Amino acid sequence: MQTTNQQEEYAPEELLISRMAKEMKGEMVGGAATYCSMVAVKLAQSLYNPDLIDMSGGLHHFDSRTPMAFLAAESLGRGSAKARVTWEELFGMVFRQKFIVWVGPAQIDQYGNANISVIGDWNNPKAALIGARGLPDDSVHLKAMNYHVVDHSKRSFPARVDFVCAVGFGEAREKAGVRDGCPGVVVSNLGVFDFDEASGKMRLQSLHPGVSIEEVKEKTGFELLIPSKIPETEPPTKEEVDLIRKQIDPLGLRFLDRMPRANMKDYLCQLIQRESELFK
Amino acid sequence: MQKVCSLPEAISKHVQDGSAVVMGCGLESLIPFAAGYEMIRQRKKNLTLICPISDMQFDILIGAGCVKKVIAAWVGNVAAGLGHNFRRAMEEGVPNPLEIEEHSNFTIGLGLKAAAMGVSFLPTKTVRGSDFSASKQFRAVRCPFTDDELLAVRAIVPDVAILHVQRADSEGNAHVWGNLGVVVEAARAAKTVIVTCEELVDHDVILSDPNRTLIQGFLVSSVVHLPFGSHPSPTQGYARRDNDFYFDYHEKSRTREGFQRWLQKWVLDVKNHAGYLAELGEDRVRKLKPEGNLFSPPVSFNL
Repeated sequence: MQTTNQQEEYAPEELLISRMAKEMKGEMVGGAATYCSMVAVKLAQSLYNPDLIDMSGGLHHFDSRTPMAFLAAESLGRGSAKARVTWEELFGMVFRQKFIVWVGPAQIDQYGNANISVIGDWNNPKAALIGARGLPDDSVHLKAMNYHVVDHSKRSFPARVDFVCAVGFGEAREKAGVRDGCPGVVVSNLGVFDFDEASGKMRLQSLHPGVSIEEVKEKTGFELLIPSKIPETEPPTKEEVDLIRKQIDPLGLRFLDRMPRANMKDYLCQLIQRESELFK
Repeated sequence: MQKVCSLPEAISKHVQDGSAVVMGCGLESLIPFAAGYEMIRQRKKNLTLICPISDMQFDILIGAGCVKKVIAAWVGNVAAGLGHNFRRAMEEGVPNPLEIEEHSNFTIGLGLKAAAMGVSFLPTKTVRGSDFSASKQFRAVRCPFTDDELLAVRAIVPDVAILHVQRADSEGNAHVWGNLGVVVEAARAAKTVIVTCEELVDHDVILSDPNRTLIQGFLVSSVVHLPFGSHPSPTQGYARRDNDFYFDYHEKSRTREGFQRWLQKWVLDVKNHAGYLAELGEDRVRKLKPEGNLFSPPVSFNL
């Protein structure tokens, strides 16, 4: 069982969750596509924004209030789903800008273009991933795009993405006259980033504790804008950590985002076992 | 009109080699897996498969060599990750190369809606600026009123929609609930609709809650009584999601040989849906049935 080191006050995942939770303001729907960001929606809902609607359980679990679940997701709607939404209703909310999203891109570049579709040439892919899903919709219609990149490297932060699923800043956006859905905040395992609106370039906002500026530079495939003063990402409070561990994600789904494949099977087996006890 | 028939009859009558088939419209639920297996048994070829989240079903059909083209926003195995057969087809052309018309979650529905409305495209603001905007199914157009630039999404016209539902009558009037995705758009867009249902009910049951009749009988050509026809995907109220089945498939299909053995065991050797359920075993089927009842209060239709 991989859990947090008891010597430490918080796990790296809990730092990210705390930081992401603080972005989610207003009577909005929190749409999350990585485990940590799903936990962040629930954390924000509990502590900072009771008006936030949790959509992490899927379309038919509109505002489920149960703890994080893996296989038991189907039963999350039981007694706590206020609505079910069809394709058309869901996109009605997107067009009304009612979503705050956290997307886990395979690649994101200097101008915030994001890719989850394909590595290499689209017509002759090195790796065919899952497809663009909602990125081409969200990046045109929502207020902003937020990203959680689970593994910060030159591969995930290239100079230019192989294929643009979500349009960032720059010529393509201007040419198409796309005004909404600009890149917002990017959270990685090394730091937090945002974008300089004038140049459209990615900028370092804060470094996670223990991470050096050199490491970030070395693992980023383009030149970041670096402000003269770089704050440290605020660590999670004890209240946040307790809530995450005891109430929101007692099963530890938050560790799945960065779990090495070799450990995944054993971890999942244990998780499923504990889940069957939790949801019985 | 006599619409009730067996699954092999419905597939053989309505799905031809080269047909465009929309299936799996309820996203992760209500996926008509049994109908897909029958298409493999009948060795359908050169199919175009359409759906928002194709999940494991398209991966199986691709691996079985039935598919020429996929129109989707996502191909994979939702629970377990990437689709191995999809990747082999895209990256190595095994068992055959695959043509992809890649959509966003919204444009796949909009294309179906266009077909349902009988128009050749519908305009939207979505997708503009991405690299997809240059794809063949999209075209930049100007609004005749405001001169704004919009994106035209070409209509997606399926030959056949295969939809699994909770209950239907012999005319094909179908009550369906749970995660609906683009079920309604697909039923209206397709030239032909096959409904597979958990329960074949009397007409009176349909009349008792007409608001729940989301697929009207006049759209439907064939009705197949097929309990557990969505296995391993869930049908709310009737069948839970069989998670182990997804993980087992993901593991076995990692290699081409492993997939072929899986296909032999679960599709080719079992002959039909009854044989498939027998292979699952009574115990497993029983455990996948929801326990107890969770009814909503009745609705009053008094006048």
